[in-house]
Parts: sequence; C-alpha cells; structure tokens
Amino acid sequence: MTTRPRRLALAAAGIALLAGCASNASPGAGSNSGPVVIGTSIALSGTTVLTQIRDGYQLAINDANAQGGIQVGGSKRKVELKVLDNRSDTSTMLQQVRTLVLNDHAVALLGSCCQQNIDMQAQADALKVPLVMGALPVDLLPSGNGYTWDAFQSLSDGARGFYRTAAKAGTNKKVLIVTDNDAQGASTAQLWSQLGKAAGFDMAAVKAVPTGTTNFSNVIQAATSGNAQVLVASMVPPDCFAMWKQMKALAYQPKIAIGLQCAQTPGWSSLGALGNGTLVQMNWTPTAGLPDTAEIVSKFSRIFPNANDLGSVALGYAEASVLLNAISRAGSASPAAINTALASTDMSTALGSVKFAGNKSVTPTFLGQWENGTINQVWPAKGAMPLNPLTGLG
Amino acid sequence: MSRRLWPAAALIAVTVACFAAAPALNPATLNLGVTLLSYLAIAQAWNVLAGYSGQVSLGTSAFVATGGYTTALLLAHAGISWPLAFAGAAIAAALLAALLSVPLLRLRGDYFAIGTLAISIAVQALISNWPWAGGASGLTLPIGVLPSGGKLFQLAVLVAAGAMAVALYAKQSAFGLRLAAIRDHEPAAAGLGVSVYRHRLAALLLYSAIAGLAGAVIAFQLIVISPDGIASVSWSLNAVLMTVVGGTGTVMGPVIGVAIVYYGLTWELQNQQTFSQVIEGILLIMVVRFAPSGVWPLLCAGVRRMTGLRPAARAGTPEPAQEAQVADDEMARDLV
Amino acid sequence: MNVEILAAGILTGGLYALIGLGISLTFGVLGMMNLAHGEFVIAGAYLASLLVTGAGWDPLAVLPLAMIAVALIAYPLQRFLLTPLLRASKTAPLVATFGLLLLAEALFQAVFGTHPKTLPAPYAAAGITIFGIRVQTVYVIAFALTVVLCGATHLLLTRTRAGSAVRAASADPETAAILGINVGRVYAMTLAFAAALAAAGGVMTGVAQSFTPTSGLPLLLTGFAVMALAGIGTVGGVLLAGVTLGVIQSVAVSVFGGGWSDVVVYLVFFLALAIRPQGLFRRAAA
Repeated sequence: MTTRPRRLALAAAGIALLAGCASNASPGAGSNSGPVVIGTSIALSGTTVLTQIRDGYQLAINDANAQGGIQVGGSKRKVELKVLDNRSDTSTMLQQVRTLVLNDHAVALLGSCCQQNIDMQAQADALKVPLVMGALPVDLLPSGNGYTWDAFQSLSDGARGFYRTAAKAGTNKKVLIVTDNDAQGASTAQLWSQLGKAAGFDMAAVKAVPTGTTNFSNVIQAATSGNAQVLVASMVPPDCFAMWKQMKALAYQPKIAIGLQCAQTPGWSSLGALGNGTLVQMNWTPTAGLPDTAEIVSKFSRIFPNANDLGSVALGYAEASVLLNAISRAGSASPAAINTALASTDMSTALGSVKFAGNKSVTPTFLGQWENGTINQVWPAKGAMPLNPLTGLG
Repeated sequence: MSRRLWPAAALIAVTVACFAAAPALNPATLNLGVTLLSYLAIAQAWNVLAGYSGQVSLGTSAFVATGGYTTALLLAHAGISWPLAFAGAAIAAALLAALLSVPLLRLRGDYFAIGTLAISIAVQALISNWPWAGGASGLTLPIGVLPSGGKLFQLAVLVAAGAMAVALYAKQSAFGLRLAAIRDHEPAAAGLGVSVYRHRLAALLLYSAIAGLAGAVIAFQLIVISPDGIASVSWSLNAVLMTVVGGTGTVMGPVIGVAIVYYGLTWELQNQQTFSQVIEGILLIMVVRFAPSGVWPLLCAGVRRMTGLRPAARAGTPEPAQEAQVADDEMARDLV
Repeated sequence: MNVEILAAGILTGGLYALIGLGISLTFGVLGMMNLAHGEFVIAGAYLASLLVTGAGWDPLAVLPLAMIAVALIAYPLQRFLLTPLLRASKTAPLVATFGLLLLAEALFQAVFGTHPKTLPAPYAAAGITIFGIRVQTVYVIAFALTVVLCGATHLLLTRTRAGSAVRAASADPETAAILGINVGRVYAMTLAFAAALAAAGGVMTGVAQSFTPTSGLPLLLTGFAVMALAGIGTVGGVLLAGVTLGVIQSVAVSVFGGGWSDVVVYLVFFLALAIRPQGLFRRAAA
C-alpha cells in the first residue's frame, strides 16, 4: 500500500523528465530567415582573459549590422554573436561549442586562443562547422579535416625578428627557453631552439614547466649556471609573473627577454618597473599603418590604452570580418557552403591581407617593448623606436 | 513478490524506451542526454560506494580519467574498434582500483576520503607528465571511428541503465544487506561473519568500473581529452554533490540529484556559472544540515503526506540521532 | 646537490607547515577533516588584498587583520553549522566542509573575479644572501612567521587555561563537558584559531605567488600531506614535516623536472597515509 506514493512520485518524476526533454526539442534552424548565428566559446575569465578579442568580434558584427546586416543570397540578414565564457577550462569549452552548434544553431564558430584553439578544432571537425580563429600561431595548428581556418602570425617570424634584434643587443648569444609543458609550449620550444641555432645562438637551457608553477628555482639555476643572457619565456601570465619576481630576487639578470603569451596581457603592467624592457610579440601596432587602425584606436583606445590590447581588438575584428565576408560570398548560411567559401578568401583585414593556403594565412609580426605601462614597437624598422635595455630585471 | 520485481521491470522498460527513442530525438537533446546519463552513471557508482558501503570517496575523477584515457589511447595508438576500447575502459579502471585497494582499504572514514582525493589529483598530475598520453595538452580521439549522435546516446543509456541495475541489485540483495551492515557498524558485521575486506573491495571495483565506462562515453562525446578536463577534480566534486543532494543510499537519489544539479543548475544557469556554483555550495550545505537523507526521501515523504498514507513498519536501520527523520529514512531504506 | 635548492626547499617548507598546522589542529582537536581549510588560506589572501591593493598597506601590516577577519568567519561556521553535524554523523561534516569549499570558490569568483592576483610588497621580488646562499626574502619572512606562530600555538596549548581546555576537549569531549568545559565554544575557538593560521599562510602565499579563486584545493592537499607526515601530537612535528616536504619537493623537481612538483606532494601524502598513518614525527605519548 505504501509503495503507491513511491510509484506516484516516480511517475511524476518520469513525466517531468520527459516533459523537460520534449520542451528541449527545439525546432530546426531557420537557415533562410532570421539572424545568422555565429557562436564563440572564449576564455573571458580564469588564467587567460580575452575580452579584447571578444570586443573585436562584437565590433565587426555591430559594424555589419549597422549597415542592415550582411548580404546572404538574395536578402540582407542581421548577424547575431553568441558569446559564452568558458573560464579557460577545456571541458567547459568543448561542451559550450557543442551547445552553440546543436542548441543555438550557430552556423560558424569564432575561436578562443592558444591551446583551446587546438582543442576546438576536433569539435569543429566532428560537428562539421567552420571555425575561424586567430591567437594561435599558424605553425602550431595540427592538420584537421578542413573546418578550421587560422589567420594569424607565424611563430617563426617572431623568432626570426627576435633573434635579429637580440643579435644587435650585445649579448653572449646564450639562450634560456622556458615554456609550459603543453603542446603549444613544446612546439614553441622546438621552433625557437631551431631558429635560434640557425641564427648563431646557443641554447644554454630549454625547460618545460607545468602551468601553475610558482617555484622556478631549478630553471633559474640552469640559467645562471649556463650564463644565459637571452631569455625566451612562453607561459601563462601568472607563471611569468612568478618567474620574473623570482628572477629579480635571485639576481638573475638577462640582457634581453621576451614573454610570449604572457607579456601581451594588460596584467603585465601590474609588475610595475619589474616588467620594463621585456619584449612582446604582437600581431598589430598603431604605428604600422594597417587597415582600420583609425577606427579601432578611436573606439577603444580610451578603454584599452595599451597597444597590445588594441592589437587583440584588431585580431577579433579581422577574424570576424573574414567570416562575415565568407558568409556573404557563400550565398547561404549553411556551414558547408561557408566552409567552401572560406577557402577562397582573399581580402585585406585589420591584421593585414588574408588568403588561406592549407587553412592557414600568415599575418605580419611585430615586436614591442614594455616601458612604463605602454608598449612601443621595436621591430620591424618601419614605425619602430630604438630598443631599450632590460631595466626591469637588471 | 511484485514489489521486488516492479523496479527492475520499470528500469528495463525505461531503458528500452530511451533506446528506441534515440533516432527520433534531435541532436541537441541527444547531446544533453549523453551528458546527463554520464553524470547519472558516475553519481550512481559513487552512491554504491558511499551510500551502500559507507566509503566516502573524493577520488571519482581518477577512474573517470582512467576510463577516458584508456579508450582514447586504445583508439589512437592501437587502432582497435570502439566497442573494444569501451570495454577496455572498465577493465583499466577496475585494475587501477584493484591496485590501489591494497593501500586504500587499510584506510577508513575520513582517511579513506582524503586518500582518494590525493589519488585523483595525483592521477591528474601523472597524466600531465606522460608524453605518450599527450601530456598536458591531452589527446584527440580519431573522429571517424567514434560513435556519435543516436549511437552514442544509446551507449550512454546502456551505461546508465547498467549503473542503475547495479544499484538496484545491491539494494535488494543479501550483498547489499551485508554492505549496509559494514557501513553501519563494521565490527558487528565482522563479528557476524561478513568478510569486510572482500565486500569493500567489491564495492570499490564496481564503482571504479562504472566510472571508467562513463569516462569512455565522455571521451567519445568530447573527442578531446586532457588532464584538466577529464581528470579534473570537478568530476569527484559533482559525484558527491549530485548524490548527496539527491539522496545517498537510495536508488532514485542520484537520478534526482543529477536532474537538480546538472539540468537545474549547470545547464539552465550556464550563462551564470558563478551563481550556479554558489547555489550548489549552499544546496549541499543545506541538504547535509537539514535534510541529510536527500531530496528524494523528502519528495517521497511529501507525496505520502499529500496522499494521506501512513508508513508501515519497515526493516531498515534508522539514521542515528535524527529523530524526525527516522520514519522517512526507514522508507528510504526500502526498495527504491 | 645544490645548496640553494635545499635552502629554497626548507624555506617553502615553512609555508607548508603553516598551512598544515591549522589542518592538524582541526583534526587533532575536533576529529574533523576540514576540506575548506584551503579556502581559509585564500580568504586570508583576498581579504588582505582589499587593504593592500586597495589602500596601499604593506601585507605584513594587514596580516593580523586578515587573521582576525578569517577567524571571525570561522567561529560561527563551526559553532552553528559544523559542530551539530559532528554529533550527527561521521560523514556529514566532511560533506559540509566540501559544500563550504564550493561556496567559497564561487563567492571569491563573484566578488573578486577570476584573474590571478598577487599582493605587491617591496620584498616580493627581493633576495638576500645568507651564509653565502642566495634566497628569496619573502620566503625568509614567511619561515620566520611560521616559527613564531608555531611557537605561539605550542605555548597557547601547553601554558594557558584555554589550551588545557582544548586538550581536554580533544581527548574526551564528554568528560570535558561534564567538567564544565563548553565544548561547543572550544571547538569553535579551535577552528577560528586554525583559520587564523591559514589566513596568515594565505597572506604570505599571496605575496610570494599569485592566487585565484581555485587556488585553495592544491594548498589543502599540501596541508594534508604535512599533517599525514607529521601525525597528530606536536607542533614541532608539523614544522619538521613541512620542512621535510619542502625539501623532498625541491629535490625531486631539480632531479626529475618541474612537472613532478605536485605529484611528489601527493605521492608522499598517500604513501604516508598508507604505510605509516600515525605520521613520522608523532610523539609516542599523547
């Protein structure tokens, strides 16, 4: 007798679950009317913060919508950008990408950065939805099934520029390379070692550390015993901050240093004088004469006074423009058509000209140097200022 | 007699229904379904270990990760078919549990909990340093050979149904009675001739195998696995959260718990993740403090009160020192 | 073996000992494994950041305030939430502190954001040379602080009436209650004190490293590793265990590479629990 309420409760629970599932069965995507949905699962919090890239995406989409939308087939359609914050967490990113495509019916994706972009490619391939990304050096993108499009700088360009600059800086040409121990870190270390040796530099120590390391004493030990005056670091910002502080405390004084992945964040200025003189690889500078510079500077320089943040906005703007251009040329808002159209991209963007060869397009690289909260371009020569000594660590 | 059979019959019916419904559901529902069912399996596995045999584990993620990585490594490096890789997940997870049982089963209570927590984080750190498994960046499974869409949903249904079946069997059988005896008063159980070590080990192996299978399903769904994803401590946290909120030691508890926590909080509030985590923390504390047997027994009690039926005497053991909860708990210790 | 690596290990071990001391106290007196202890550490860092980055104070000046603030949070938690659970069931306190962990992480995120923060201080990036070994100033300060706090704890426990009440309640709560000791208040004071120690560790961690809302869990495990190595019994044992852990970690990292720094902690912890659960430095008599 008393099992009846149990059965009632069970039945009620079961019906509720099924009702939930049924209500979740949303109607199919209206691919011929309504806004074109573009999705992005991007790290807006956590170890990496990419709000500037998101702002760039939004700026491009707002610009397009201000003109009534983009031309798709016979009609003009508005574009809707669905942004999800994946908190720099891989699992969250993967689930969010699936949600954006399956639930929100996104017809294309915009990327996050770094390792997340490498991981996102697999989902883009599985879901058969085009993914346009920047913020991942083209040398680091593994080959996939053709749905991922990377328009960004090449790690080799940055390395070559750095070694050329370092050669003129009067060092003993001994290099310490320290990276995070993920795929991006390993590839970075390998590439920079190779190119360094080709440029006549000697790799005194190459170290890989897990993300979240706070104690770099063994790395600094290797550097001092190898007398490395050139420092190449590619880690997430908190790790760089910890290492810079520890280097100062343990009196390790390189003559020239570059912080890949980490010095190009606004948080670098929180290091204060300690961060002065560190070099950073940039995809954009206000003095380089790239397209759309004036618009980006006028709209965002008050919020982001720092050249590298504006560069991230430019990055987002460029990637979104590439995607919007492809949707227009595709004539329809279907993922397959957009993917085919992306292959034939040939346009000028905020980062430079973009034309894909093998899903990759290399954009220009610049080197900047931190000085009292601002970044000044030091390479290539056009629009550059002279290189300062590494006062922060010296 | 029918009282004992109808839960099993209901389970089979629901399983068959979900299995058959798979082709008719849209991809979004299938995707959500796979995630919910994976969590259900993990929660139910934890329920068997913690609810039935009283061993609170904070290390579920170690076994989920083992399952996921075994499947991924077998597919990526050995090129075998996915059903074999799937089976391999359970075997590897159970092997790990068997290996760790030697030191682990010497620990009890809080020490056991902390030991499992240390294991799960150590597994994550070890995987991060293992280049063959992709190190910190992880692995991408070969897309072409994976089950997806309806097939993956059906696989998830089978795994969850298996977990429910194990829980149901443990509840209704003498095995379950002995587990409960060990949980409630180990020395007395030992004195009555229950082989404590063997039963604890059995619970541990069941728990790890189911968690490993769930890990394989998750790997199939996410396609990319990495230490900070599938080996993250959040799987351990969610297992505890979902089961405790739903009702530890009951068969339907994890179902309710997954529905509330994953569907109600994580999914519906996915744009306010911080807010949903605040609610999860408060919910857990509230449940532990004011409704220790969980939401499912509360629901049952509520339904009972509404329909005006009174509970008959039950053969379960009441929670110690919880006067008001005794009647509800006796019901909770019953069939479902 | 490089002396500087040893020295660095010893000094960071001091910080570990500070975190482990609070956990040891809680487990020794209350019999409760407090999974939210790492959150007390981070709470200390975040509360300190309000005055340090907000008003430009020196972290060492803010340290006592942070300790008091976190203790004030811990006292009612123990008194009204955890002590009733301690009497109810064996697993409820563990799960409740676990809920506190989730809640704390979410609150930190909501209030302070997820960006990694540090506590700026003039000695954060400074180094000094002691006996010809170059070490980081901030870790020397942390080690000194740990020694002072350990000494204070030992004196409090052995030389004061409150300390006797704590030791009585930990040995036999029922008898202690009969003898007129307010066990509920003793438990709450103990957790509050443990939380204050955690907060001190948090402030020093905030200066030496950076912290995010999720930094609490790794610190919790480090603390448990120290407790497992030390065993329950003496404050000095905890300090020794912390230093041992720091040295083992430092040596392992220099021999096997940076990736092993966390694994070493967990392996040590697990082995200690499994092989010698009573700890290495436990005094034979209670």
